[in-house]
Amino acid sequence: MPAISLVITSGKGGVGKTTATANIGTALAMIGKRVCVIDLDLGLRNLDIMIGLGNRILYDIVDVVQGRATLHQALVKDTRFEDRLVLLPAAQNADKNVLTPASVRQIVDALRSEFDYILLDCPAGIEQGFRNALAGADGALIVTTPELSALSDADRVIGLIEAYHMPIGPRLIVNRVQAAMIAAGTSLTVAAIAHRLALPLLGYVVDDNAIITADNNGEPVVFDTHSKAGACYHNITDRLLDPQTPLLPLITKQPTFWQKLFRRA
Amino acid sequence: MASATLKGRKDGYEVQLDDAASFADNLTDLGGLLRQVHEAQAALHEDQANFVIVTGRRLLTPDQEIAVRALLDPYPHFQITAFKAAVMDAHDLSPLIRQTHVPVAIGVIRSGQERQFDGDVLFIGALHHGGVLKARGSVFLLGEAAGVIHAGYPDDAEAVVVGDLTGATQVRIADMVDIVDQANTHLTATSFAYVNDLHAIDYSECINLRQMRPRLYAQMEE
Ligand SMILES: Nc1ncnc2c1ncn2[C@@H]1O[C@H](COP(=O)(O)OP(=O)(O)OP(=O)(O)O)[C@@H](O)[C@H]1O
Ligand SMILES: [Mg+2]
Repeated sequence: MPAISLVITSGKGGVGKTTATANIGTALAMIGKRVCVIDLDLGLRNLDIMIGLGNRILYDIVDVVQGRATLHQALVKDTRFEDRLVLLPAAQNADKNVLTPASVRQIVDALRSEFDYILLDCPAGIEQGFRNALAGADGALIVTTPELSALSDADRVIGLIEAYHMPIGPRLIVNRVQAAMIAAGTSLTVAAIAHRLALPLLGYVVDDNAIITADNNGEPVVFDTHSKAGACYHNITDRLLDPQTPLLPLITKQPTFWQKLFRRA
Repeated sequence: MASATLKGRKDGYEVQLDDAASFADNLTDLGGLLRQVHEAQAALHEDQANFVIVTGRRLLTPDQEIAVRALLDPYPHFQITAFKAAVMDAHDLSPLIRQTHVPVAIGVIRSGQERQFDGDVLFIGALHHGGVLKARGSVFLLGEAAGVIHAGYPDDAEAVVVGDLTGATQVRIADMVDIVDQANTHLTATSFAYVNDLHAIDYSECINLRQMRPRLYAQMEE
């Protein structure tokens, strides 16, 4: 079966698109899927670093489009997974306009027969880079954080994506969820966010310092079997493969009297 | 059986022309009927007679109507008061539908999206923050509205907005704008927005709609 291509997008910057791409890509490879992740954030590439392949790049996507390298020369293989996980890096210094929707679509189509999933890490915003990423996608994963400003951008992006009539409908990932804030009533619940955006929920990721540690180690958090964020990404991946998989429960217990007492102290 | 049948009415006669018969037969039989009526009337020393021509599922063309009227020429005191058919021309019908029918739109209007409607609209769904719902006529809302609602666009100050506007960003009617703020105490889930005598957007309870916009109410009743 040819690969399913999914764009990971958000509108607002810094909400966790690249982290999501790295972790979902890695988690899929961990369970035996063949995955190609493509960094479409020209000039600000960092998917390579998050996934831990930053030091092995020889060519990038712009080299491919401009004919300096073949597609296969530019693919960086992850030896941790017997080459099941592969990265097509973004260019660091390239004119933003060298990529076009048509060239991205062409690259994705050329890769379809060799993979199960192709994940496209979309740059922030709704300009050229966004349109490029959408052109190559069969479906979209919308990443948002619980703040209203991020929700508003996500809503805008969902509206634009719906106009593309992709074969797979968009789904939502709520990132940086804070159980304590939800319990205290100072943050929307995950369900309320999905309702507000009128989008099916793929999953959520808790706000977790393990993500930052993982970033620094060049090892996506899904490798960390004890981390909450890692568990969330595994749940997202499982739900991607089988929508019947139940959502990981979020523990939003009210702090106990003693916890409150000690926190105040 | 004759393709034209006569019925007495309070104010004259009704002639039914069988729509399953040919129009030529209708004419022949109608001619016969008129002659009979004329004779019967003469016996009663009466000559005045009014006719309503009922054509069922046949819609007469202007030429056919002329042909029917011509049959009355020999009887100057006979008169056709109306032609009635059970059917209507699609061309005449569509503006009528547009006038009396409120289209239903279902969906989500997202941030940055704008949906426009030509007349009134019943919108069922969600109008998100940053989205715009615009109608030339009135807007009836069923669902959550967090965006901008513009009724009577561009200049119909008779238009109203009905629905729960408590979460909306702005209500606009014709060229007026009201910035809905949470402190607006007139606003409830059962109020509606309209333009008052001072040419400002105001809110009232739905139960007052009939009295304040009788035209709208009559239209809905039809
Ligand atoms: N669940 C989380 N908990 C804690 N930190 C997080 C979480 N998700 C992302 N971060 C941090 O947020 C920052 C931004 O994440 P990331 O680069 O994935 O966002 P992005 O949407 O790709 O940004 P850009 O729009 O710049 O491409 C990173 O430093 C990352 O470590
Ligand atoms: Mg990024």
